[in-house]
Amino acid sequence: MNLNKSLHFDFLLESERLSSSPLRLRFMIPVFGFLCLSSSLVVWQMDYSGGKATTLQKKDLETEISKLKSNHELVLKNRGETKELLGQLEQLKYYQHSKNRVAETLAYLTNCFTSNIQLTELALTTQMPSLVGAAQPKPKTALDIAKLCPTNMLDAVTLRFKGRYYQSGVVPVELNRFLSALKGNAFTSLVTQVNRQVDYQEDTSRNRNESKEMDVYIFDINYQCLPRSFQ
Amino acid sequence: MSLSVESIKSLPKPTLYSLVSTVVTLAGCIAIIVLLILPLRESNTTVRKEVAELQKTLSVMKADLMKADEEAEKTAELTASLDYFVNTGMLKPDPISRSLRMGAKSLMMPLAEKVGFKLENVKELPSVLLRLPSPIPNQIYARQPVEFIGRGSFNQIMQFIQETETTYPLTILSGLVIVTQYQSPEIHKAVVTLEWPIKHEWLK
Repeated sequence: MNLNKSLHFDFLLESERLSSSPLRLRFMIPVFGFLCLSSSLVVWQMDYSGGKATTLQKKDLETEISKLKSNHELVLKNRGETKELLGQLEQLKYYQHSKNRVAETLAYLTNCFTSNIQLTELALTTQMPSLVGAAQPKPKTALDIAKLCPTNMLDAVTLRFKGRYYQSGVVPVELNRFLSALKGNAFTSLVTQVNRQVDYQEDTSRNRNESKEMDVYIFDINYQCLPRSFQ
Repeated sequence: MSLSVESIKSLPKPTLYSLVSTVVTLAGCIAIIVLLILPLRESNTTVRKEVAELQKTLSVMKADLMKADEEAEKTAELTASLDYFVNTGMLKPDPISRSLRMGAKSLMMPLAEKVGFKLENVKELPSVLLRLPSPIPNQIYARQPVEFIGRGSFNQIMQFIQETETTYPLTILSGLVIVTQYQSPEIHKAVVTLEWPIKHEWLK
């Protein structure tokens, strides 16, 4: 037996044994747990306070909105009224825009005639879109009305002259004078020279009976006028 | 290393206390997160969204109210314009017979008499609806043509139309037929078609 060997006695109980680290794990882990718990409680508290503030803000906003509501409703009603008035005025402006003053121009026609040319008929016609008559059932809804409303923006207008003139030679002098007068500035606000139709022929029934110094001719002239524009 | 109830029980008491308290606090922490924080955050998000919506609504309302006077002025102007159209240019039915024909006749008779155009007959033609703007207004207007048949010289007929155009700015000549009379070369038969705007509700 070797007596030089040193003996090592361990008098510590197992529960008394400590780690060599200055931080004891057995103590730190529960501390960490409590820290987690308390910090989550703090977070909840903050969220709760924030939520409460937001709810209060919401209530304030609702109160303010309810205070302004009646006035705002009046503004909205007024706005609806404005829209309605604009719509009505727009319709009436379409109509107003379609007015072509013709009386003054037509009155000027008297300056275009001599004793050798006479009008027997003058007809100014507006080609109106489909009519709302008794045959059609009365529209009840806005959509029904919209279906009946014209979509075209122009109403064609025509002017027809029928008459007779006296002529001694072959050239229709009187008729040409009348046609060139209608080309003048006085009539540019009424007739256009587009699609002008001029028909004339000898009035054989009259020429048979009357003296042969001058022959009687009848004419029929059709003009396209400036259209009525509903824009 | 295996973890069993026996091995846990055999742990020294301080270690056991430490372990139990850690497990309990962590469980509490998780419970707080799951049961309190997450639902609260969800409801807070909803409330915050509602607040944002309300703020938006409020700012729109305030902006609308700021413009209220201006808009009321505009509405008053438009109402005045419409009243002008209705009072000056629109054909209204005769108050007694409720007839547009009679309404037109009472308007035109004084003018015809003034210029010497002899009015013989007045006829109401079918009306035509006016082109609609978008959006469609509640009040719809139509064009009401009325035919005036009479006799007069060319100048009288023209004066009748001129007087009408001047006196009633919204009355439009939509048709005119003048036919010479062989029996009376100076006096012609005239069919003058004039039209007015009317309210759709007045259509029969």
